[in-house]
Amino acid sequence: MSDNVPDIKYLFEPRAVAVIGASHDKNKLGYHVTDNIVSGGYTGRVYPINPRGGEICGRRVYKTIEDVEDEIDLVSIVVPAKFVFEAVKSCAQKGVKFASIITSGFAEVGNVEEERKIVACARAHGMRIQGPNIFGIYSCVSSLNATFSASCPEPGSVAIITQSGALGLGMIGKTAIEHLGLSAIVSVGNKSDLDEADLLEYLVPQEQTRVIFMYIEGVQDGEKLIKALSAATRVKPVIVLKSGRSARGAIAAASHTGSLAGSDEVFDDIMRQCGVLRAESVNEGFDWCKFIATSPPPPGDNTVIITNGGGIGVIATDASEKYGITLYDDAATLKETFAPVTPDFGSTKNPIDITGQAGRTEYTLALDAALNHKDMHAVMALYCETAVFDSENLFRMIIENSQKYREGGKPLVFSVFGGRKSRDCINLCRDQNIPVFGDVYEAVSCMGALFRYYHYRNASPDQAVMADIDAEALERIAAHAIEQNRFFLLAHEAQTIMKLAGIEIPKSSIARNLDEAVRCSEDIGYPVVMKVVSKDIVHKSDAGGVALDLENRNEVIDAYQAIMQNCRAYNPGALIEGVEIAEMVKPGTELIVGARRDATFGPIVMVGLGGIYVEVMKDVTFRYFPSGRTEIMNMIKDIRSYPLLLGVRGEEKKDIDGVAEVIIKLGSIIQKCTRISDIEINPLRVYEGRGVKAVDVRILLSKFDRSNKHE
Amino acid sequence: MNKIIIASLRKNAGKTTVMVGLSKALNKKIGYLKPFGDRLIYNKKRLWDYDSALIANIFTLSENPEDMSIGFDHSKLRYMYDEKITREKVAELAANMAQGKDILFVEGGKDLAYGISVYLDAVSLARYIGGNLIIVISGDENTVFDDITYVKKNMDLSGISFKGVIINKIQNIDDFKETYLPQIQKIGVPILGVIPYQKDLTYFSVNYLSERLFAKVVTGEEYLNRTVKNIFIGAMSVNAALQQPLLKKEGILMITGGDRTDMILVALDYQAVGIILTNNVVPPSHIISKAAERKVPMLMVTYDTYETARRIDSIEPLLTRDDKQKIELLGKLVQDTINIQAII
Repeated sequence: MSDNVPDIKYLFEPRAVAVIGASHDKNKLGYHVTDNIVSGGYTGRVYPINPRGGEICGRRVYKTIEDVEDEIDLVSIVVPAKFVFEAVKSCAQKGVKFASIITSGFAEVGNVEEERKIVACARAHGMRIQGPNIFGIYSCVSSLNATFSASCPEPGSVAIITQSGALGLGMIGKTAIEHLGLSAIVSVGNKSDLDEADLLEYLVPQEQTRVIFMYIEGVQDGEKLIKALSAATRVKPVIVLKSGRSARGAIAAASHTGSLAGSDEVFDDIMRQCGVLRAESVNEGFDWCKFIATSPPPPGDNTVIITNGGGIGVIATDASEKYGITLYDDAATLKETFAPVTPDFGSTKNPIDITGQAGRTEYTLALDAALNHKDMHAVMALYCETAVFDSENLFRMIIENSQKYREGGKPLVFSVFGGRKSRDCINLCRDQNIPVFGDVYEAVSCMGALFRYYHYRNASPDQAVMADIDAEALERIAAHAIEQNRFFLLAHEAQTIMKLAGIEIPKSSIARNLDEAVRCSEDIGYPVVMKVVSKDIVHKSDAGGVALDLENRNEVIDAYQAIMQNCRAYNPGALIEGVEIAEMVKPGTELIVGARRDATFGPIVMVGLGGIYVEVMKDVTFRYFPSGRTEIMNMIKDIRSYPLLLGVRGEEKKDIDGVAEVIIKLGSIIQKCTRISDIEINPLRVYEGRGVKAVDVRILLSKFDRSNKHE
Repeated sequence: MNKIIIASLRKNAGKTTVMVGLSKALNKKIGYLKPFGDRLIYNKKRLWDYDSALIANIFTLSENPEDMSIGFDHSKLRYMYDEKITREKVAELAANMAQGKDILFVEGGKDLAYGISVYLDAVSLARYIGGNLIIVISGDENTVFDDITYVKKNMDLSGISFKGVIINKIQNIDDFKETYLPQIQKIGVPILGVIPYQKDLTYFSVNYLSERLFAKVVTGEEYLNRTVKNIFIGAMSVNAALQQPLLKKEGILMITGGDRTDMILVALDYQAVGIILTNNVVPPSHIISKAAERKVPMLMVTYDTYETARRIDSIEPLLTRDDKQKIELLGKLVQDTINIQAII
C-alpha cells in the first residue's frame, strides 16, 4: 500500500475533474454528470473521457484518461461495472487522487471481491475511492456538481453526507425548494474506502459549512466514526438520521447497501455521547439544519414563549417539556417585563399571551422586551391566524424581528398556524431563509435541538479514564481457558478477574464434595449460596444449579443433593467439579453492569436495572469506552430506574460513585484484554452510602484473536 | 396392615403408575413412602420426590411429601448414615406413613441395584419393612424373558415375601399372551398380570413440557393444559410441510424457529395445541396477537430446533395430579388385568 494519502481537500476542491463514461447520449448518466459539472459553473478544468472522442457539453472529449496531459484530482466513473476496475487502474496509474465511482453492482449485490480489488488497486497508487454505488459529489466552494441530480443545489452552509444515492438525489431537490443552501452533498454508497469519518476531516474545518447532516444506514468502522464525530461536534453541530431502527428496517437496510445496521439502542446512546443530534426523519433533520445554521448560540437556558393564543401556548409548553427546554419562570420579572406590552386580559406567566388582537406592533414590543432582557435567552413566538394581522405585516414582523435577534445574539423561532395567509407567510419566510414552522412541535423541536447541541458544546470535554489493571494477568487467565477449548470463564476464574480489578465480590470457596461444602459454609458463615461448578453448565439457574439463602447445615445438605441431581438430569454428560459456596449477599438495589466488544463500535459499556427482570424491563444505557467520568455518571442518570439509586421512601442515596467505578473497571478490562469479548455483572448490588458487590459475574472470550484487528 | 414394596428391574418400568392403578383398584386408605428419592424437586429450600408429591395429591394424604424420603443423593446418605441408622430411619418412616392406613406402598429406586451401596435398594427395604414384594417388568418379549429369568435364577429373595411380577406396557397384548406368556409362566415366577401398552398414558400436556424445557410462555397461558399427541418439527418449507400427513393429526405440537413466521402460521391454521419457538427468537407482535386470538400457546426456548426435539424426546411422560382421566384408566387397567388378591 502506498504511503501517499491524498489531501481530502482535493475531493471537494479539485483543480481538474475527468468523467470516465462521459456520454453523448442525453439518456445516459454519463451525459448528465458532465452536463451538471459544466452547467453548474465549476471553476476548474473538465475532461470528459469517451473512446468515441468528439465534444460533449462544449468540451473536448478525450479517448482515454492517459491522453489528458493535465494532473487530475478527481475522476467521476460512470461506466458499467465490468469496466470499472480497468478505469480505476488507469486513473491510479496516472496519479489521480480521488475516484468517485457512481457505478453500482458491487458489494450491494454481493460482488464484494471486485470491490476489494478496486480499492486495493487504488490504494496501491495512493488513490482514494468514493463509493461505489453513489450519485457523486457536490461542493459549493468549487461550484462542482459532479452528480446526476436533476437540479443543482443552492449554495449555503449545510453539508450533507448520505449513504443512500436515491435519497441523496431527492435531498438535493428538497433542499432547493426548502431554500436550504448546501456547502456540500456527498454520497458514500458502499463505503468501500472513504467513509463518513474521512469526509468529516474536510467538512469540520471548512468555513462555509456551519452544520453537517448525515444519513446513515450501517456503520462499518464504528471506532473511527466515534473519534471523528467526537472531534467534529466540538466545532460544529452534526445531525444524523439513521435508518434500520426497526427489525424490518434493519433487514431492508442490509439489502440496500450490503451493510448491516447494528443495535439501535447502542447507536443512539453513542451518538448522544458524541454530541450528535439524532433526527427521526429527513424533514426533522432539515428543519434542525436550517434553524441551527441560521441561529446564534443561546447565551443561556431561559426560554420565553410569546403567543397570541392560550391553547397553542399550552401546546408549546408541553412540547418544551418533551424537548428539554427550560421555560423562564420568574413570575415577578415576567410581569414587570411584559405587563407594559400585554393587555390586562392577557397573561405574563410564560407563555406570554399577548392575546388574539395582537398585531405587528404588539408582537414587536413583546419580542423587543425579551430581546433586551439579560435573563431571557431564547424566544419561541407563536401565531394563530387572526383577521387583525394580515400576511404582509406578519411577514414583515417576522423578518424584522428575526434580523434583530440575530444581531442581538439570541435564537428566535416562529410557529405560524392557520390557513392560506399563514401558508403564504411561511413560504415567503422560507424563501428568505427565516426558520418558520406551521406546527408548533416542529418549531419547539428545533429550539430543543439547538439547546441540546450547545449544552454539549459548552460542557468541558470529559477526559477519558482507564482503570489500572494488570493486563498480563488478565491475558493469562483468558489464555488458560482457551487452551482448554473453553470460551467462557469458570466462576473462580471470573472471581480472580474481579479481584484483579478491585471489584468486591462475595466471599466464596469451592467445595469438591458434601463434606467440604458443609465445612466451607461454616467457615464463611450462614447464610450462604451454593452454585454448581461445571464447565459444561453455563446457565446455572436454568439447570437448577443454584440454591440461595441456606441458613444451616441441613439446608446445605439438602441443597447439595438437589444441585447434584438437577445438574445431572440437565446435562448427564456434564463434568461437575463441585459447588461454589458463597456468602449470601445482603439485599440492595440490583443493577446490571457490562462491557463488551461491539462488532461495530468496539469496546462499549452498559448499565441498567438488573436482576431477573433485566430482559423484561430492558432499562439499560450504553456508552463507548474509554469514556470520561462525567459521561459515565450521565449514563447512570439516563436509566429510568435512576431514582432508585437516589433513595426512595426514606432510604439513603446509594453508592453511585461505586457503580461508576465498576463501569470504568469493566470497560478497562475489555480494553486491555483483547481475548475477553463480554463481561457482565448481574446483579451488582448497590448499597446505601458506600458499597457495591458483584454477586454474579459472567465472562465470555472471543473465538478470534482481536489483538491484530486491522491486519 | 398390608405393606407392598414395588420394585423394578429397570428404570421407567412403570412402578408409580402400577401403584396408582393398584391404589385406585383397591379403594382403600393408603400410605406411601419412597425412601431413596430419584425425581427430586427442590423449591424454597424444601426437597421432595415428584412421585411422593403426586401420590400425596392424588390420594389426598395428610403427610408431607418432604417426609416420605430419607435422601436423594448417595453423597448425603454416605455422609449422614450408616447401615444401622439407615434401617432405623426406614423403619421409623414406614411407621409414620402407615399410621391410620390400610395399605402402605413403598416404592423402590429406579432399578433393583439403585441405592444398594447406601442400603436403600428395594430388596433391602423389603427386608427392613417386611411386607410383600412385587416387581414390575416392562420391555419387549426378550427383555421380559431375560428379566423374569434373572429374578428366578439370580435374585436372593430369602426372608422376603415375594408375590410375583407384573408385566407392564406390552404392545400387541393378544399376541403376547398367546405366544409368549405360556413360556414365561414356565419359568416359575408368579405372574400377577400383564398390562397392555396404552398410548394415551404417554401423552403429556403443553404445560408439562413448558416446565421441563424451562420455556417462557409468550402467549396462551390459559391453554397450556392441552394434550400433546404428536410432534411436528417445522424445519422445512411450507410446501413440504403441507405434504406431511403428520400435520393433519390431532394434538400437534409444532417446533420451529421464532423467525419462521410462515411455519407458525401453518401451525395456527392446523390448530396446533402449542408452538415451541426455538433459538430464543421472538416472532413479530402481529404473529403473537394472531396466536393469542387463535388460543394457541406459544413457548420460547433458548435451544435450537435439534436440541429442543432431542430434549422433548428424552422427557418421561410422568403422571401429574391433573391427569384425572389417566388415573381412572390406570385403575380400570389394573382391575381388569392384575390378580390383586394374590398381592394382598
